[in-house]
Amino acid sequence: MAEFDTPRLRAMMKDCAGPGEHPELEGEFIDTTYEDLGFDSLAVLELATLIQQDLGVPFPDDAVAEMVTPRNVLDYVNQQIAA
Amino acid sequence: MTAPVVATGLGVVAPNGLGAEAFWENVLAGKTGIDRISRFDPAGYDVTLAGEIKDFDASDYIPGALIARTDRMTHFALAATEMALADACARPADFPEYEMAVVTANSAGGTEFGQRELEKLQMHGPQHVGAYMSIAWFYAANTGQISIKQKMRGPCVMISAEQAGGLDTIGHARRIIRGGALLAVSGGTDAPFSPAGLIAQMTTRRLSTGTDPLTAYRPFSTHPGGYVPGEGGAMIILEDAANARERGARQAYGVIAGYAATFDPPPGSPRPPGLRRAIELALQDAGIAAADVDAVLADGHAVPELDRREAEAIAAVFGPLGVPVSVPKTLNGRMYSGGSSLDAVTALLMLRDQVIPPTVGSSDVSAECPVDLVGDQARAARIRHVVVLSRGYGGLSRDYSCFNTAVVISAVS
Amino acid sequence: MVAPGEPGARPFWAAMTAGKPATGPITLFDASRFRCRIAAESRFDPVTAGLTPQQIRRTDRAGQFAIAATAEALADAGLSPGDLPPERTGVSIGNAIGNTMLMEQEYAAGSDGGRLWLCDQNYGVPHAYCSMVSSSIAVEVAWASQAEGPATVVSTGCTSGLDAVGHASQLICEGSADVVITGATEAPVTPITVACFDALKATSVRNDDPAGACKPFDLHRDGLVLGEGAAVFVLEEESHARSRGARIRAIIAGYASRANAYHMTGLQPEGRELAEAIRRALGNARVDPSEIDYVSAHGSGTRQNDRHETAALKASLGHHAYRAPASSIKSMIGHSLGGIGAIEIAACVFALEDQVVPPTANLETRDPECDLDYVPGDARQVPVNTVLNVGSGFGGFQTAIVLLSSRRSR
Repeated sequence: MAEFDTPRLRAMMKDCAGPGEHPELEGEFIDTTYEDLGFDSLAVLELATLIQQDLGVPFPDDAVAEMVTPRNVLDYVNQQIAA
Repeated sequence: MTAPVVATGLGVVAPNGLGAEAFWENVLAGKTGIDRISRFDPAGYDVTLAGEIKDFDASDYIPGALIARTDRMTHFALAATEMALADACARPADFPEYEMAVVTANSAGGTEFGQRELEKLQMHGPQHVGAYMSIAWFYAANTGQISIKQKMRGPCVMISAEQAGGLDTIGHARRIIRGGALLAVSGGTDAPFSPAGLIAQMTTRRLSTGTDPLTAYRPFSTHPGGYVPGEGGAMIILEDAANARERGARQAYGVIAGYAATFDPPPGSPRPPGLRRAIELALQDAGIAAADVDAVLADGHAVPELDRREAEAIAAVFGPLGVPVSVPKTLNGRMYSGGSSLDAVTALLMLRDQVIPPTVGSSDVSAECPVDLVGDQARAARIRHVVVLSRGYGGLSRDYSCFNTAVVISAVS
Repeated sequence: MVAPGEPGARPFWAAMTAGKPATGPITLFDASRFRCRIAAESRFDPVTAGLTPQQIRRTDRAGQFAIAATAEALADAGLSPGDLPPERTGVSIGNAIGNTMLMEQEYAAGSDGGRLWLCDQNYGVPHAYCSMVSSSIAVEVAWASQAEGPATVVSTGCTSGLDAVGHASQLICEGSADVVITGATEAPVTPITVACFDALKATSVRNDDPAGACKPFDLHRDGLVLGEGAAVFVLEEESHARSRGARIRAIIAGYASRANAYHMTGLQPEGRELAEAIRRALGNARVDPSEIDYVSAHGSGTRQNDRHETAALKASLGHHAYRAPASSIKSMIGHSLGGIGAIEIAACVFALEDQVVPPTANLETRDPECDLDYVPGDARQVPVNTVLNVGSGFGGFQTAIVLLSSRRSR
């Protein structure tokens, strides 16, 4: 499977964030916390579901709990893909 | 216990108009919102007409993040609430947080959102069901989301009585205001049009298979062919009358003067249906006589036995042809919990403009239904008291109804 | 009542006082692909419960629970359907998610397992619409009790059971009805519901230890366990009950609900809106916090709820929060969403009658943030004359009900 990259993550996050413009997801957002990006716990869980669905990468409870920034998600998913 | 409760703001999401004024203008002009179903291709279904909401962009009213996690029924509810609060010039921040209540009704739940998630579950498995589903499809989602968006922390309730629920929210909101709340958002919205939702509705055998929007839904006529279903609804801001005056509310459309709800006896019972009693109790609650009522907005099921029973109840209370009756929902379809709220809005606008809206399609009134049905032209009239009726589905047979609600809406004295 | 384990009110209470969890592996459907594979199920069988073939055909399990519980309630009150004046008898039943099992089955057929977005109308069976609307539950209860007064389903998520009974008491207090058949029902152990809670990661994943999985207030709690069930009551205006010589089992003295207006699923740690609901309910009941003998807690077993609720109890009851025992029977029967509030009211009624408070099962390790007396492990014999029952639900609903012993004069 190809590496899970920022553009793909950005697209998925936009899906979770709903219709409209999302300026906070343009530019450098990878190290901004989900909280600062306006992603509440539900939105992060929705992202976890999307990743499970589209990439087949499982997202157990303890893994979700560690997803504080988008970079955490990138790293986690790519680790799972490599394994 | 008898402190007056008034309607100070209206919000409408109707097939024939977005916003109370657009809706009302189109109703008086007899302009229909019923058309061929466009949300999906209805070619495979016997029912092809519906009152669908058109040109509605949820992002005009709510942020994208909220749109993603809510069903269409909630988009309607949030939009109608914004409109109603704006119309009432009521800013939640100006009210004590625990004195604002939200009472909504809903019938079908988050139908379209639900069908999408069920599809993912059944085709791909449980890991594909998203986090938003848990909050999007349950019936109370509308109340919850309105409460959160508007920061209303008083009693918040959701009521389910199918079509009658929309009127029940008005009665319940009035009860809550009399119990001490200052303001309540009340009303219903429904969005039952996904293919799975349509099929479920069709199993009642009460839906019209007509193809002409102007004649498919013709309550009280000699050959009513069932109703056209609709989506959307209305929210009404209700306030304690004294407080509304004190804060300088822009208008009070009318008073919720009377309310009553009854339930029909079980099928096969020799006891009479309960609609007549609901009307009488509501009149008693309002402290007015039948002769004081200037118009009735009927439930108008367009199923022969149900029409006959409704006409019988109206005649028993008001005398045969004793009061003008109209079914303006012939222009939008039967919108479930949204429909009865929309009828309440209609009654309030009738009081403001002193006019009875038309009933479209029922040109040949059945001899079994002795009602003075307003035709397809609006009728100017002196209006001080309007009775609004609504009946909710009961099941078992095509001829059987269940929940009966009557509301008396009166001019502000 | 239809509670997890053996149906019926007495078996329920026997299990509660024995501290016996009814959680086990899910059997109502094949849960092998799900994250959480445990629930608290009832051994209910509609035929054994006396439902007719037509009742069974047209209802979901939730509706069936309600029919059975209504029959039991009427019998318990010494009434046959039709004994009460129909016009003065209302219905107020709580339910959160409707008729999901039936709805899923209907959908599976119409869509052919999800393959078709444009479902096939030829697979729409009679009464399918009844599964789409939750109002059908009120219809079944009204028919079973021949009620013709105001009837409704009250649907406020996880507080539906409390709010329905609260609504019923309002109908009686204002004179719209003399009797209301009230309570709640829920049968959420279905694929879509379990999948929803999986997505939220709100349910426990102690799949290998179902009986020990629900650990309200425990330091190691990891989420709620879904349950199913119903409780139905005959709620009567007091003088009406006395004049017909009815046995009064408890008094609903106060009710209040508030909303947190914060988040559909999230709870803030301070619990201020729940505290406000509690204060209001106590005020309605003219009960001082010092009089509370038992708190039937929401205690769902999620990390956030138990913390939120503990704070709310402290804020509203002051130091009495430390004195009054507070237990969560969800530890034994799981969380039946819209149904649980009514089931907990039933537990409160029994507690008042028997002077016994049920325990919180599986409470083994103290959480410093949850430091009240949650009655760990064993039921306790104590004087019980005044009970507070609280609940929180999705949508931000916060509700409190106060019950008094029938021995207490008003």
